Amino acid sequence: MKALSVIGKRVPRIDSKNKVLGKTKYGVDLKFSGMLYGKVLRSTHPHARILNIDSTKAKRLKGVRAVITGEDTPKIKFGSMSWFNLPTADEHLLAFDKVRHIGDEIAAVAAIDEDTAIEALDLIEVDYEVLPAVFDAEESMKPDAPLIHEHLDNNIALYVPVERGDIKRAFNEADVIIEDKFTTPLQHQCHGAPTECIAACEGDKVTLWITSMQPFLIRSVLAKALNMKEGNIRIVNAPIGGAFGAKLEMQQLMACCAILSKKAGCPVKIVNEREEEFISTRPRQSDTFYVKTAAKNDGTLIGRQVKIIGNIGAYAGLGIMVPPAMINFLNNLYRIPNIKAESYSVYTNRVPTGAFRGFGLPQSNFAFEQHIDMVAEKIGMDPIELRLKNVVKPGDKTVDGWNITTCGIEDCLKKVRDSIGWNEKRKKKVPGRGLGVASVIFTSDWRYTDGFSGSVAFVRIIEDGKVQVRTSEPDWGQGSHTIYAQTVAEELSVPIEDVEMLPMDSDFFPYAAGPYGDRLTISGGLAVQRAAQDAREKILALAASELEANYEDLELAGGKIFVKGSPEKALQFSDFATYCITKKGGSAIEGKGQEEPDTVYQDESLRGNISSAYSFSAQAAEVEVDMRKGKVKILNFAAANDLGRALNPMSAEGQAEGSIAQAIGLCLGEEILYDKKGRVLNAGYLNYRIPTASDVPYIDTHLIETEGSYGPYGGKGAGEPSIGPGAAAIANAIYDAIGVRMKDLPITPQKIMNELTSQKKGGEEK
Amino acid sequence: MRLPGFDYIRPIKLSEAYSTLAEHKNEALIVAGGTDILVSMKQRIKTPKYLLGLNNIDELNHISENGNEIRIGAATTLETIEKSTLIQKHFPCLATAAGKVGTWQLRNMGTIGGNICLDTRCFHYNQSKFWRSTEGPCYKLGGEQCHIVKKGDRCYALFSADTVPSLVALGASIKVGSIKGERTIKLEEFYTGDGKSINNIGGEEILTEVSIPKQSQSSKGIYLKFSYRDTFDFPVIGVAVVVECDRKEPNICKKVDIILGGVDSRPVRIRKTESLINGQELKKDIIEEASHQSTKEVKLVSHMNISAAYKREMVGVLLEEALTSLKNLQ
Repeated sequence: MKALSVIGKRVPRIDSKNKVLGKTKYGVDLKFSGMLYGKVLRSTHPHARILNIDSTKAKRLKGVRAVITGEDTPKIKFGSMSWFNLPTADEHLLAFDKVRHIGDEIAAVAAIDEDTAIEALDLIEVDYEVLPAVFDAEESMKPDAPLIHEHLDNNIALYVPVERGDIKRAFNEADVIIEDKFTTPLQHQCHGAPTECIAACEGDKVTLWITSMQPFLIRSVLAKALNMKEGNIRIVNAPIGGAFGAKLEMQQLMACCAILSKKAGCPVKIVNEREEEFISTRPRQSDTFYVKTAAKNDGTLIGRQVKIIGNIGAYAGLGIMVPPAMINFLNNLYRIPNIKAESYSVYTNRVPTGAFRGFGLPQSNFAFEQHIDMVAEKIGMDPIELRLKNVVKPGDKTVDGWNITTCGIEDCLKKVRDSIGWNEKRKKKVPGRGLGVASVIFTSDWRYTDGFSGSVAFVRIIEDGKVQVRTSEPDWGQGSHTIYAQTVAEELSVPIEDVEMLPMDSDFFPYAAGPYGDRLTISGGLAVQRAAQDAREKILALAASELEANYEDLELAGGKIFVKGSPEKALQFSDFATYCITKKGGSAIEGKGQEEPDTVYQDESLRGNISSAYSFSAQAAEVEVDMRKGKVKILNFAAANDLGRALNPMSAEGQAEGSIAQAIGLCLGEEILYDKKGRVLNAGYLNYRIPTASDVPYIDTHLIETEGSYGPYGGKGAGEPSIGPGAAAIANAIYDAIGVRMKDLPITPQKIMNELTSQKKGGEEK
Repeated sequence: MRLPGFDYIRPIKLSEAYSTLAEHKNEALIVAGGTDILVSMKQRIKTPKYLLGLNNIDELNHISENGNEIRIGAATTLETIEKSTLIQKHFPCLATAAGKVGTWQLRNMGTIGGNICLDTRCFHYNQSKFWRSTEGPCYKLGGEQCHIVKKGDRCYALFSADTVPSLVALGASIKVGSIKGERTIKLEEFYTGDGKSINNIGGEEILTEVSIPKQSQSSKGIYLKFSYRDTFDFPVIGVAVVVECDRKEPNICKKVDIILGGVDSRPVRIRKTESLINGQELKKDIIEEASHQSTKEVKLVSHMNISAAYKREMVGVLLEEALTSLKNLQ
């Protein structure tokens, strides 16, 4: 690999100092003069017809400036997936005919302060006709289940069947067939800063200050829902306090801010309470997996059959696409020729679900990768050997048509095997302790539309050689902007301190397609790299005429531009940048970069090379199970991530470790609990148990570099694959420790004790 | 969530606090660390007109040795108690318990008085106003029903204070005072067993002090807390055990006190289990028998997603662990 000076170095995040010092002004910190505070009235019933809404008393309350209901909205149905060309518009800005989950938005108020707004909510009277509700996805699929969306005949929002090869033959020829059911819970992203928005209307135009992972998706959906032109909506993206997929979609509160602001004639701000985050934003869906795996006695996997039932909640959102995405994760990690997979995305009267890091990766991996261990056990093979025998290899074209270019999964598996002491520890088993492993494939630079699925960036060299970068690909704490700043510093040979990532504003910034499927490293990165290269070429061309030299002979290094071989006759980069602007007929150097990946939009049967590259991860866990209480302690954890090239190793390790903490949460404690009445029981951090520092072990993280990826400097996405293997690896380790296969997440102490008890009973009966 | 409006009164003398409370008795609540009450106020479970802050009253912040007992001012923080060499020396099980409360941040704020007066908890009660509006009020919220125990004749909210099982097992007393004078109550008799009324402190009274008798040389104690998460969690079950051994025959357990937290609306003493151990040597078979007895003796209901059956099992497991540790403790 080519030696580089800034890329590949352990550069601290450019935003970290201000964040650590508490100086960063996040969206929730913004305030404008004359600003009003809004609150949203939400449904207290999981499924009901709205008979009447009376907001007279609320409007009369002193300090209230505007009250809106569905009647104040254009009543146009919208949905996030319409941006991806899927006809799934099923949401209204404010419910006027029917509510479909507890938390559904009905009305909003703007008042001089939050207390008054809250008081006003209490004065709005809603008459409901309560309807029967359904919360379980399989119940909801039954013909007599209450119908949640009237424009459909049943509650199945999307059904995708996929067949590869001949599954019947695979099962006939198999030496081993294993069949199981796995279930996973609703998991919340638990981003630090809640969802918020400030909107200010002026004439036909509205400006929204939001904290979003995808400002252009939000603008497009807003335009549709508000019946406005996209050009009349200006989005300013403020620093984001965590997102993990939660801040991709347009949320009702943003449109409410805009309508309230128009009505009141002042800026309006709405910030969600933490409880509202749990009952109305878009967590990871709860899924049920029926998995059947066929293998030969020599460890060759020959067939897999799965039925995935995704409980997507009350609206389609982005959650509707998670079940089919999980089929891709199943099909492409191993060389399995025969597959039959079906996914059902099912409406229920629970919180709508959406994107959460991995987009179905960790929960599907929990099911699929436990099955690999079950096969290994049945044929008496080491689980890592079985994986090594079956994983895809560089140069493969998978059953879904994915072109596997660089692929380090074998190295990942070997690395975690050595790191955790797999072979030695398996020889000397300690009672109550166990080892487990799991691996994943993930897209890196996914194409999700047949339109523009790339990125555009601008790089401007201003006075004193400072460089400003404009890209609408956001940084919500994952470090993309630090990588971009490193890229620009690398290409222009300037110190990273001289590179400024400007805050995104849709009036001045180029379009970007957003972060789906780990796009920011490759598409976002290539656009920035090309913009920087363009700026470099432009400044060198000007310097060539200034130095009366050939462009090809010039070199830019150490803050100087000079003819190769004669650095003594040099232009100072900083002085020359100013000169370019201030000389007669001058202008700042503007570089433009664009990337549009050479990938395809997948067909109805989920075929097509949808991503520029594919990344891989393997992880191994060593656990100790308290056999009397059922509590699991993670003793050691090893992770290896094939990310092409580590553009910033420190940042990539942080991405892996944060992901693993979330996977540990999914595996051992996190779950949005619903009761029979459709209420969330634990909408707060006391009883929704995210792991704390004392629950997460030291993680031995390895970055596996595989040369030749299409991305900038050979980099691939590193943000999402690492959340994949954790839950499965821990579950496999629990089985290794106590001989009990845990098939329902989260694996709580109580569930382990129940399983141990029934295992004991079963043993006695035999 | 935002706090509702209230006036904050911050006396510097206890006598001042008494008179202020007498003046506003039905409209004022007491705050020390605020880690419990401020959350309830944000959820609009409690909306006092006045909050009487105890943090500036020096008389309430002390740990002192007084003859045969140690006295702790009610406004002493849990962090101070955990780190106090005096407490660590005389009552290690109390130091442990104080260190198990919530998180470091909460222990820096929370006080021993607050922990003793901790409100009982229930997932139908500790919810926002929005959530509570989805059902009729329970006993604890002024209604005539319990959502946990259908047809139950009282509130079954859980008492989960970490320090109280140890304090009761150590035979602690508390002092409460008001403008009318002071009284001393055995801590064990302080709790009513009803999740709604919880304890029998009067509306004009302030808990001012805990006093714990020094234990004999042959006494030893332990507190074990089992929670799903290692920090920032209430106990699924908390068990405090104090045994006093015979001076001549140190293997014989003369008297044992076993107090459980997290099982009912008050700290629970399991008498039949205690009587199994009293006068016996702490041997494996006795410990197992006691553990088994405790699971039969304890009365439990399921809360949220933790079943009564699992909790029952954990009582036995924790007690066995506690007694085994004490047996091995020289």
